[in-house]
Amino acid sequence: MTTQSNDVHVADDVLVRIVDDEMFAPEHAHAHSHLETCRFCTERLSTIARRTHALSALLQVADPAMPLMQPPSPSSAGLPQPLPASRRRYAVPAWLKAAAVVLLIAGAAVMASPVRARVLDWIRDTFRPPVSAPAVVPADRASAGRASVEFLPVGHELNLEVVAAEAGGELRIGVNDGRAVVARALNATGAVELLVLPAGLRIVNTAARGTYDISVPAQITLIRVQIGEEASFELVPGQLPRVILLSADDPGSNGGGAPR
Amino acid sequence: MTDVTALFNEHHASLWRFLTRLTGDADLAADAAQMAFVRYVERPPAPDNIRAWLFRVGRNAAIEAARTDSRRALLLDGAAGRVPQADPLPAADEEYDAADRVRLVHAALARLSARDRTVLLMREEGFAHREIAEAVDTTTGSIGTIVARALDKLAAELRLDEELPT
Repeated sequence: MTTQSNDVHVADDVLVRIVDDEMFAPEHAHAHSHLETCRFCTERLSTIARRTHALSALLQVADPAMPLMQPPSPSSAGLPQPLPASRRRYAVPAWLKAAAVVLLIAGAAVMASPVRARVLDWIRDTFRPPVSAPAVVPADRASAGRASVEFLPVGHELNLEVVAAEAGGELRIGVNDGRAVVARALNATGAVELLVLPAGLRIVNTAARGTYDISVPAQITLIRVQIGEEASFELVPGQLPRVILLSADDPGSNGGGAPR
Repeated sequence: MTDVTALFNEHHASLWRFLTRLTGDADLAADAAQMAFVRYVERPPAPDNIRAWLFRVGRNAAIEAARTDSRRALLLDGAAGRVPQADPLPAADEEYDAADRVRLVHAALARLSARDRTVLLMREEGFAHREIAEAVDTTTGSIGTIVARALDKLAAELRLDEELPT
């Protein structure tokens, strides 16, 4: 803070800027003229400078030895790289790959063998998919604006992901009386995919504009919502029902993600 | 994009030191510093102030990592009342070793708010007040006040006004 009168003490922020050589031009003249005559401010300036140097010395003593590290290379940035968006949608889970291999090997024998029923039972029991198995609503249903899917959730938490935040519409989330998660695309004007994932649901609405109505059973205690690249947020049953705008092209909206 | 190796050689030590002091955890700091450079490789920022960008990304990565650990979260959130209180520095004529001093310094820093700690430690790394203000989302003029108050808080605890034994 800069003062006009030479009798007023120099504020702490100005004294710190003097120590750091960061003085603002207008405060320069007053501060220096005041410091020439004010013992209080001179001592305070000295204290700040002394404490700065003492802290610096203490920090250096407290620093541990630095580990030897290498810079990341552009080809291997040191972390698992996310799949490109085009591949993410069609990634095949490991359990499905394993099931496919066993089915191929057992296929011929099963078709001609008298133990066909027993083998089929074994396969079904061994490779039982998660309760909420991946499923894609066919494009023909989606394009008609009737996309819907129903599945039993795994556990008490649900991940809800909307892949394309640039698409318009609303995401409505409520509670139902049943045991299943029910998701519907209403009035969709383009292709919609509702993908049931092992731990949640993904809405792919790149070309669509519509309303997405999700109702969850009471057993769900936490819903994590991820819309596009935005920061995810969490909802609990006490916050439901909620309506979340997905429109990013409407300046009057809340930006396509924040619940209202 | 600036050469990554050159950038790493120029800024990594300072970034790691800052993050270690900020979190009190050298391993976490190493991970967060590496994360900052990985982010740089993946998505290079505008070249106007890469150093400040690296520190901002590294700090955010450290905070995010620390939030997964309740103990570290307490330190970062500046929950002074819940952080174990350090003993005061012993009298000058008492013996105390370097480990005690390290523990006292980290405990005292941990009792500052995350913002005040960030301001003090970025200042220690030579950042301008304008850059520090951008990092903690405040005004340039308020940095001096934050520094002065934080030094006041640390002064008694770390006995900054006395000549410390080396």
